[in-house]
Amino acid sequence: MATQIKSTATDLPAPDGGYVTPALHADVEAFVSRMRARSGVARVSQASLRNIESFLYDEASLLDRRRYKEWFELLCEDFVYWVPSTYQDSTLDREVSINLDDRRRLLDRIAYTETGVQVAQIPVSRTLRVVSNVRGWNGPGSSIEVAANVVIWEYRKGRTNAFVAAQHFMLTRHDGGYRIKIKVLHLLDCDQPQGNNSFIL
Amino acid sequence: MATVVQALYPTSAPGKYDGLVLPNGMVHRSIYTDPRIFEEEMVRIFGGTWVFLLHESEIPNPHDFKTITVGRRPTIVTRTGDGAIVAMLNRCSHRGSPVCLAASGNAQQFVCPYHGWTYANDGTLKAVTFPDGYGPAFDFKSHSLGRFPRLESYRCFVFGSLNPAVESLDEWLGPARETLDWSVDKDGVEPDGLQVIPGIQMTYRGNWKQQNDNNTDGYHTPFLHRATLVMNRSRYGPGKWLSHVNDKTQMVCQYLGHGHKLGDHRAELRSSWEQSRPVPGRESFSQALAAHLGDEELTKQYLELVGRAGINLVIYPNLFVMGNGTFAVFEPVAVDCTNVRYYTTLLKDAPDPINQLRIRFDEDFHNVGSRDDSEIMELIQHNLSVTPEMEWIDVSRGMCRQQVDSVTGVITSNKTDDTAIRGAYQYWKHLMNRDVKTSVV
Repeated sequence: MATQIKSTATDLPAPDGGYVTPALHADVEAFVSRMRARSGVARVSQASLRNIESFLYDEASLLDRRRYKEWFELLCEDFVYWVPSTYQDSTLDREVSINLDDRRRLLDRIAYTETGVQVAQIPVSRTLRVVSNVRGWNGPGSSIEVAANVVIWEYRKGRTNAFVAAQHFMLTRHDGGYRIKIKVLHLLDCDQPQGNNSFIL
Repeated sequence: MATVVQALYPTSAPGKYDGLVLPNGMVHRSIYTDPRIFEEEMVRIFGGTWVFLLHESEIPNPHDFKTITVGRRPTIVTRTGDGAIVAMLNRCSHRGSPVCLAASGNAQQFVCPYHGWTYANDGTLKAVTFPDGYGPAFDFKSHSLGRFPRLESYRCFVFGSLNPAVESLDEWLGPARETLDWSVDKDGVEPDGLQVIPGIQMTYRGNWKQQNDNNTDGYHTPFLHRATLVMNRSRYGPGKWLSHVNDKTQMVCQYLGHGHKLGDHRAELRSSWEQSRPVPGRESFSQALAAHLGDEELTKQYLELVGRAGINLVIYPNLFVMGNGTFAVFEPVAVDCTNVRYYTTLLKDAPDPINQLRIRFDEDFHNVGSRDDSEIMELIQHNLSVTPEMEWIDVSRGMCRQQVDSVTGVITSNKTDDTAIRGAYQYWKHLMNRDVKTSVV
């Protein structure tokens, strides 16, 4: 076999058992419902908003540079990553999502791509995320709930594609900064046949 | 005996497609790349044979409908007031506009958005706008929506044909029925106990037959899916699904006649549940199931309804059945563009955790594997279309060791062989060569 495997991912954290439960499902769905109903009430301060924006730009930059291990350090112990396949009234219980990942499945995807022989990423996608329309609210406990638009420009093999989504983040405070507890991407074309989105959006 | 085999492998009169599918296992690149052949296929295969339309549970109530495409034709499939299912082209008999703009819903009639012509949901024309312009001789009957002349349902899988002379669905399915039965029986519930929901949907820039080939290609696993195998092994150890690496195996592929194919992996499937990768919620949902049932043996039985069932059954031309409720439909869009729509089957009377786990499982492979298939199909499509000096692809693997069952005619071969693919192309040639007339009623 000509291609050398670059990594067997032994340096990634060990898979941790599923913390995904019906209660977690309900929490994520409640979060999205809250976000959809958001108005001017309970907005974070301007100073906080600046910090949140910086954090989102840093997160986007890590993903663009495929620095997955560093990106992973931004995630909470019970992180959920969700890309629903419906545009409204999405549920985790009765729908097959485009992505529904806990840390374990996310690590699987990272390990899979870091083997270097994931054919759908030979060559790798070159991405540039444009994050904007960032708004933040104080959430339950000391969490912060953030809405932000994203356009993920992807260049691969002579084609430039755009993945467009409304993002919802639930952030927790950590060490003077933030960590991500929930990340939801509401892709504009979520209910249509997807092309080769074989990288982490 | 002879008749069965003959039905599976019909010998047609010589036809113009004979030069494209050779007896030595060579297939011409143009069948993937030539738009004129594609147009012919849309009539001869996607009109002239049985095409999978939908699962009955997708339109459970009277007046439910769903719109799909059949060989690109926009089609409405409805369940009429008396419970019957009708398939009709979504094309107003007046000037060609679609009469139904919704993807799905419940409606007793369809009103054309252009001039307001009104059809009952069985396609009958009920009213034309400002009828004085047509006079008393206007023939309502000849202006109904174009309905499929044949429609049959087998185990809730609804098939339609635009060929009034097509053989019965039973005859068409032939030996494939046995595996389809096994798959549906494994769920172990009455037809009413199933609820099909959409799964992952993908599109790739390649011919529909690429996906059809790929689903019974058991040769590529350790190569194309090497990243998946390495990841699974490094994170979960050996024994997870797709861990086989050579052809020293009891697993087989089979050609079942009429283009149908089976990749049968059940000989090496000890346990769907044990051999499936862990999905989000594996532990919590299986523990919740065990607590709910209070019976370890029963829990184990239920968990076998999650994960790979061990079959890759392709019902020609457009249905792919994987068992444990997972199936997919190939939807040709153009000679070099195909949609693949997966579906998941929920079990209404099963404990909730089983359905949760099925949903999570049906998300799984698409994010750690099947886009590598799409990528290779796109690469191949491009290669075949621009390299006229290399005309042939080779699907001869297994000719030296295939076994034909003298009673059923089924051809069996090692899992890594092209035997099923080869059989399907022989049948493709027959379908393309034969005289066929498609029509609506």
